[in-house]
Parts: sequence; C-alpha cells; structure tokens
Amino acid sequence: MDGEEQSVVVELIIALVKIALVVAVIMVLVPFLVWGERKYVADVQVRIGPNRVGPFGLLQSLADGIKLMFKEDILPGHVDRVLYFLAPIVMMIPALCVMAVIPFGNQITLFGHTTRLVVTDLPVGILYVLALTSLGVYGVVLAGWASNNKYSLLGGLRSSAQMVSYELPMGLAIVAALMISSAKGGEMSLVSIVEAQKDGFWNWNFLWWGIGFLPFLMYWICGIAETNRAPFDLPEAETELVAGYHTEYSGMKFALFFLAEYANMLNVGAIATTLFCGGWHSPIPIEILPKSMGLLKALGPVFWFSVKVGFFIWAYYHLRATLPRLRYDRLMGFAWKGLVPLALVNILIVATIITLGYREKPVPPSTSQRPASQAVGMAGQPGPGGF
Amino acid sequence: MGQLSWPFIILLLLTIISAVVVVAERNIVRAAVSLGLSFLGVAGLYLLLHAPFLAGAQVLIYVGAITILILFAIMMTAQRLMRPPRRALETWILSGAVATALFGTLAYVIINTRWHEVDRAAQARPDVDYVPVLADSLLQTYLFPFEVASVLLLVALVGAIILAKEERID
Repeated sequence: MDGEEQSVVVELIIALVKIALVVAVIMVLVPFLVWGERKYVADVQVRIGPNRVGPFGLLQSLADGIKLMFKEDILPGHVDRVLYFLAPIVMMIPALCVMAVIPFGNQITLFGHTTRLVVTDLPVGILYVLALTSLGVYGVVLAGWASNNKYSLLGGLRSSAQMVSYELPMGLAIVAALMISSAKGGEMSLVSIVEAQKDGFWNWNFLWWGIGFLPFLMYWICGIAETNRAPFDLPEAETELVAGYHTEYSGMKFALFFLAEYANMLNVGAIATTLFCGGWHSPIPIEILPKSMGLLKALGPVFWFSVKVGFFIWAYYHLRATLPRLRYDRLMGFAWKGLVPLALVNILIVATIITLGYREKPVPPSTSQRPASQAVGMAGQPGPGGF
Repeated sequence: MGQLSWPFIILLLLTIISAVVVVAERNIVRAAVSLGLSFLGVAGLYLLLHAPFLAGAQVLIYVGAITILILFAIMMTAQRLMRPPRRALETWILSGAVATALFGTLAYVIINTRWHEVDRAAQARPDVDYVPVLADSLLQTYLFPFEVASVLLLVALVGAIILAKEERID
C-alpha cells in the first residue's frame, strides 16, 4: 500500500467515524430530549412529569423505546403495503442526512490527523440542507395516504400544505442570510458561513445592521412549522384528527416518526445556530477574555455549539408549553400574507444595504479570475469527504 | 472515461426503472412517488457530472416541490382518480405518436452532437457549476429567455385559476 492509497483509507476511516458519531449522538440524545420536554411542559403546567424510571425519570424514554421495539409490528389490512412501509423510512433518512453538513466544531487533531468537526463540507451546503428538508414532506404525505384512513389522509394533506407553504418563506429567509453572509465573505458552504461570523457575537448574522434578526425570526418560525411542532402542530391535532398522519402506525414504525421529529428539531436548531448565531464560535472571542475567566476560555467550540442548539430546543419546549394551536386558515394566511411579503421586503432591504457599498471584508475575486485549482476543488471534491 | 462506473450504472437503473414504473403503474400515487425517485436518480447523475449545485436544485425543485404538488393535487381530487385510467385505442395511438416523436427528436440531437467537443469545452471551463457563473448566465447572458419562461409560468398559473373558478360558478 503506497502513501496515497493509505491516506485515502485514513480519510475513509475518519469519515466513517464521524458519520457513526453523529448518528449515535442523535440516537442517544433523542430519548433525553423527549424526557426534557415532558419534564419542562409538566413543570410549566404544575405537574410532576415522569419520575418513576431511573433518577428523575431520566430513563422513562429509554423504557418507552424498548417497549416500542418489542411491540408487535402490526400491518393493518386496508393499507397500501409498499408506501405504508416506506413512509417512516423516507421521513427518517433526510433528517439524518442533513446533519452531515452541519459544522459542530472547529478543526481538531487526533492521532496526528487534523480534521474538521463536520462530516462533509459541501460547497453547496445550504442548498443541500434545503433540498433534503423538502424531502421530509414525502414521509408525511405517503403515511397519510397509505394508511387509507380519513384522519390520516386529512393530517397528511394539512401537513403537506403547511410544509410546502412554509418552505417558501424559509427559503427566502435563508436567501437573506446568505446575502448577509456573502457581504462578510462567506459562501454557500456552512463552514464558510460560520467562519464569516468569527470574532464576537456582534459579528453574528442576526445582529447584522439591526435587520439580521428579521430573517432569523422568520427562519425560526418556519422551522417550527416545518417540524410540525406547537403552535403549528395541526397535522397531528389530536382533538380533531386522532394522531394525524401516523394514526395507523405503531411499534418501531411509529418510533421512527418520533425520532425523525426530534432529529428535525435538532436540525432546525443547528441550522439556525450556523446561519445566524455564529455556529461554534464563542460569544466573546477567547483571545480578549481576561485571564481570570480561565474556565470560559477552556470551553471548546463544541460546547458553544451545543449551548446554542440547546437554547433553540428549550425555545421549542417553551413555545409548546405556552402557546395555543393556530387555526388552520390563520396558519396558511400567516405564511402567504405575512411571512412571504415580509421576507421579500427584507431581501430588498438587505440587497440595498449591500449595494450601497457595505462590505466588511474584501469580496472573494470574481469568478473569471478564480484560480482554476480552487474551482476544480469546488466542483470535484474528490475523496470520501465529498460527493 | 471509456468504461461505465458502478455508481453511474446504479443511478441509470434507478432513473430508468422508476421512469418505466411511472408509466406502467396503474396506481396513480405510486406512479407519482416513482416519478420523484426518477428525479432523484437524475440528481445523482448531475452529481457524477460534478455539478452539485444543479443536483441540489434538481432535488429541491423537482423532487421536493413539483412531485409533492402532484401528490397533493392527486389527494385533493382523490377518489375519482383512484380508479385505473381507461385505455382506449385512440389514447394508445395519440400517446404512441407523441412518444415516438419525442424519442426521435432526442435521438436525433444525441446522435448529432459532437460529444468530444462538448467534453473539451467542459474541461476548459471547470468552474461552470460555480454559483456566480450560473447566476451570470441566467441573469445576464440569458436574461430574456429566463424571463420569458417565468411569464409562461405566470400564464399557466392564471389559466389554472380561471379553470378552477369557472368550475365553481357552474
């Protein structure tokens, strides 16, 4: 085995380890997220919440998971077998794939190999995220239709309309974020977007010229709607629709829907962190912190990333605990008459500021002068890390 | 470049088989899902051609939006369409003629393209998938056809609304 071949093998191993790590972290985290949500909502409603299994009921969700795994795999007689089987899978896979481009830390060096804490840094990262999140609708639509049950079908229809509608303002909010980021020298890859927001929280995109919070809030609202969470959880409004699109599902298939929902929550939180809140950067650059705050200085990028994502997860819980569900026509009206025009106006304002000459850093050279080697790297991305 | 690589073969099979299913499947929802799968295969082919932006746009628009809208429309108009379509002789003849004409046109174009020159041109411009280059060609070089296409979409939109309205008045 010559040197080049060996490095390819090492790259492959590193990539596989990173993939396994990301998937494992999500799978382990979800039960605790469910526990945290139940506890938090219980607290807000002056209840106790799960407290029997394990200390503070911590193992409750694990017990539930084990129960779901050993349940009989029921296949109702009236369903479309192929699509009924496919729907939870289609729901789960994009949710996990999105994680692949999210940078959760800076470079680290282990056993002499330096690597970034991201599975793969795609040159079209944010487009990849948008494309995959748009696939999540399939799971809902197919589940609703294949169940051959009016509650499921209505839930599926509602959800597909909702998700398609909110995808539009979400895309427009991301466009604004990309424009802001490109004014700072970032590109479409998520790593470059994070790196354009370094050196302190005042450089984070959501504080950009006092207008960055607008796309940030819009992204966050659309993210909640996309994940079908309260107050936008109409697809599974239990008072009207039983359980919506997953009424007919039980056992592991139901667990997959559940997992996908929480994985998607993590995704939305992580993307919001990456696009608007400086990704893995600490709020105050470590270099300018006084020596006495050694503890804060020692905390790594992964810590800051987790804290920010944790904040968004908390916001999910809190919104669910405090807000009532929207009426359906209000929900659609809000997307089409409220968010879409607002997003367009926002893009206009951002574009005006940028055109009027606002530049924080020199822009990368225009494409015609772009060195060929770099351009090839953009398009080709050889090795297991890229496509 | 001569031999076929296995990712190419897999994507090719995915695209073609699911395209055949779209036509052959009598259940219209399954056909629509299969269409989405076929689009995904095409996106994979774009990736193999080193065009990740195009692949992402393909998934976002064709798989994520158009096919979903088709599915949505099917479910809204639901039960009447769940019956398998009838297969009259004139339908066979008409669609056969259209398919043959389309196949003939595509075959003519493929046979008459000088692929070596295309290949050489592509090698000379390795940055064609770089987003600003795409933006330049869409919003400067080919601005007019681009805008005409959007007017066409607008016309289709207005037409669809008028059709839907008329139905309600009756």
